Amino acid sequence: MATDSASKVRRWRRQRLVGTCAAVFLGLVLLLAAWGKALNPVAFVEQIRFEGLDFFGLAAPIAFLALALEIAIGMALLLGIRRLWVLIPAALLVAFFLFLTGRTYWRFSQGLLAETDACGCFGNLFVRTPAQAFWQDLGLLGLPMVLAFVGRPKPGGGPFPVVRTTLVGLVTVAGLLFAWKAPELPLDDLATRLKPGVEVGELCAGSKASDSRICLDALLTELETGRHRVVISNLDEPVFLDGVEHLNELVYDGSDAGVWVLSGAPPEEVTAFGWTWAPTFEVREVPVALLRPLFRRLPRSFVIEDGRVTHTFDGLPPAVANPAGDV
Amino acid sequence: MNEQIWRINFDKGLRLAMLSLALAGLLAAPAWSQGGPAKALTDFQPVTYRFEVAGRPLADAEVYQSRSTGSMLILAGELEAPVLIRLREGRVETVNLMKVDKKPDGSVTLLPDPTLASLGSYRLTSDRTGVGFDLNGQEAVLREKPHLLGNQKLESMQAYSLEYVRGAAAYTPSIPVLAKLRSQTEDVQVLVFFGSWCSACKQMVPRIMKVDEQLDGSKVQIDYYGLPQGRAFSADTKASAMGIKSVPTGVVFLNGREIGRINGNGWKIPELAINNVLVKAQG
Repeated sequence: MATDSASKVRRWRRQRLVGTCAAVFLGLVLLLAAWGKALNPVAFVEQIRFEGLDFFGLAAPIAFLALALEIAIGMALLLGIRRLWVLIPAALLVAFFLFLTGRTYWRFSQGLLAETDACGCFGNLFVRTPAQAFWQDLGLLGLPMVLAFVGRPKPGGGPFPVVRTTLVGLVTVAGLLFAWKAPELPLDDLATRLKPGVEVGELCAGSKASDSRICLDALLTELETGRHRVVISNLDEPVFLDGVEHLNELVYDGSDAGVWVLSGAPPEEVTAFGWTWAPTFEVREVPVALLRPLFRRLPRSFVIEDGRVTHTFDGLPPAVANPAGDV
Repeated sequence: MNEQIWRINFDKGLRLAMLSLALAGLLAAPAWSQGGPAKALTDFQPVTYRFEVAGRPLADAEVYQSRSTGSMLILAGELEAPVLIRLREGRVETVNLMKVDKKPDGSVTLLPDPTLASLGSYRLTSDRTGVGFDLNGQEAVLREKPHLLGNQKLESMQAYSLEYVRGAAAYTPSIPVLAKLRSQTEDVQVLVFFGSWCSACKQMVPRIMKVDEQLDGSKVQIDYYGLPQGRAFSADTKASAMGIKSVPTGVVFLNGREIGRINGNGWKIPELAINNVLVKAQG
C-alpha cells in the first residue's frame, strides 16, 4: 500500500516535471515569437491583413491584441502559472497559429500561394517555407501545449498567484509599449535580415531547396564586386522623392561607388518614374518577397563592398566624406 | 584740374564697368534663367525607344540617353534638326546638327555651345510609357518599343533591344560547361519564356543569349517566347498550357520531352543550369 502510494507520488512528480518543462518551453517559444513581432509591428500588421484577419479594418488593434495575448500567455507559462485560465487560452492561441500555418501550407500545396508569401508565427525575422512553418509550429507549439496539461495543478488548488500574475501584466504592458515605440528605435539591423556582414547571395526569397529561390546576387550581379550604395524604397515614398536630387549627385560624387535603387514597384511605375525624374541612378525591380524582410521603414539603404554589406542606414545613404574614405 | 581729370576718368571707368556688367548679365541671362550655367551635354548612349510623329514611327530614328544630364537626343533623317528632350528641366529643344559628335563607340556628345531652339515643354503620355510634345504643329511621341511577343530567335532579340546586346556582351559563360553542352549528341531545346517589360528578364535573358551565341552549331537549340504584361500574361495559351507562372522561365526539352526548368537563381549561370538539368535526366 505504501509502495503504491510512493510510486503514485513519484509518477505525479514526473508528470508535473514534464508538464512544467513543456510549459516553460512553450512560454519561451511564444515570447521569442512575440519578440520577433514586437521588433517590427508594421510587418505584423501587414501579415494580419494578408491573412484576412483585419476584421472591421482594425488590423493594428488586432495585431496589438494578439501580441498582448502572446506575451501574457508566454510569460505566465514561463513563470509556472499552469491554471486552466492560462492553459485554455494558450491552447486556443496555439490552435489558431496551427490553423494559420496549416492553411498557408495547404494553399501553397494547391498552388494558390507562392512559397515566399508565407512566414509563420515568427514574423519576418526568420526564413521559413510554408511546410517548415507548419511542421515546426506543430512541434514547437502543439506538442509542448499537450504536455503542459500533464501534471497541472488541480482546479482550485492553491492560492491565486498574485505576484506572478502582476509580473505577467507588467511585462505585457512593457512589451506593448516597446512594440509601439519599436519602429522609431534604431533596431533595423536586429529586426531585419539586412545587417553588416551579410552577403548579397544570402538575401533571398524562397527556401534553399526550392527551384524558384531567387537571391539578390542573381538579380544584380554588379553588386558582387566593387563598392555600391543601394537604396530600398517605394518610388512614391515622399522621403525618397525628396532625396532624388541627392541621389543624382551621389552618382557623380567622385567616388567609384555605384548607386542603385531597389523597388518592388511594377514595370510601368518604374518607367513613369524614369520619365518624370530622369534619375542618374538605376532603378531595379526586385520581388517584394525578397525586399520585405530587409526593412522596417522605407527608404532604407546599405553599402555593399565586394558582395558583403558593410553599413546600413535608416533613410538615404549619406554623401561620401572623402571619395577614397569610408561612408 | 588734376582732380577734374581724375573725376572724368573715374566716371568713364564706372560707366565702362557698368556697361561690361550689363553686357555680361545679358549674355549669361539665358543660362541663369535655366538654373545656372548649362551642364555639358555629353555621354549620350544609344537606347531602344520608338519615336513617332503624327502617329507614324520614324524608322530611321536613333535615340540616345544621357543619364548624367537627364536628357534624350533624337536623330532622324526626316527631322529638320536633332531633338533634345531635357527631362529634368521639362523642356524640348532642337540642336544644330553640326554640334552632334558621334563617337566610334556608338555614343554621342554635343560639342560646346550648341544652338538650342525651344520647342516648348513635354508631357507624359496617358499610358505613362513615354513623353509627347509639339513638333512644328505635329504631335511627336517618344516611348518604349512595343513589347516583344510570341516566338523569337536570337537575331530578333538582338534587333529588338540594345540593352540585350550590351548585357550579352558583358556576360562570360563558363568555357568547360559550354564544352560539355557542345558535346551533346541528343537534341536539346531550351524554350525561354520572358517579358520584354520585365526588369529581371533584362538582366537574365542576355546571359542565355550569350550562351546561345556560343552554342551556335551544336545540338543545343535555344528559342525565346515573349509574353505580354498584366492579365494577358495568364491568358497566353502557350504559357498557360505549360504552366508558366513567372518570367524568365526556361523549359528544357530532351528529344522533345520536357526534362526540367530554369528558374530563380538558375539564371545566374544559365549554361550551368541547362547542364544540371541534362545531367539529372541523362544520369
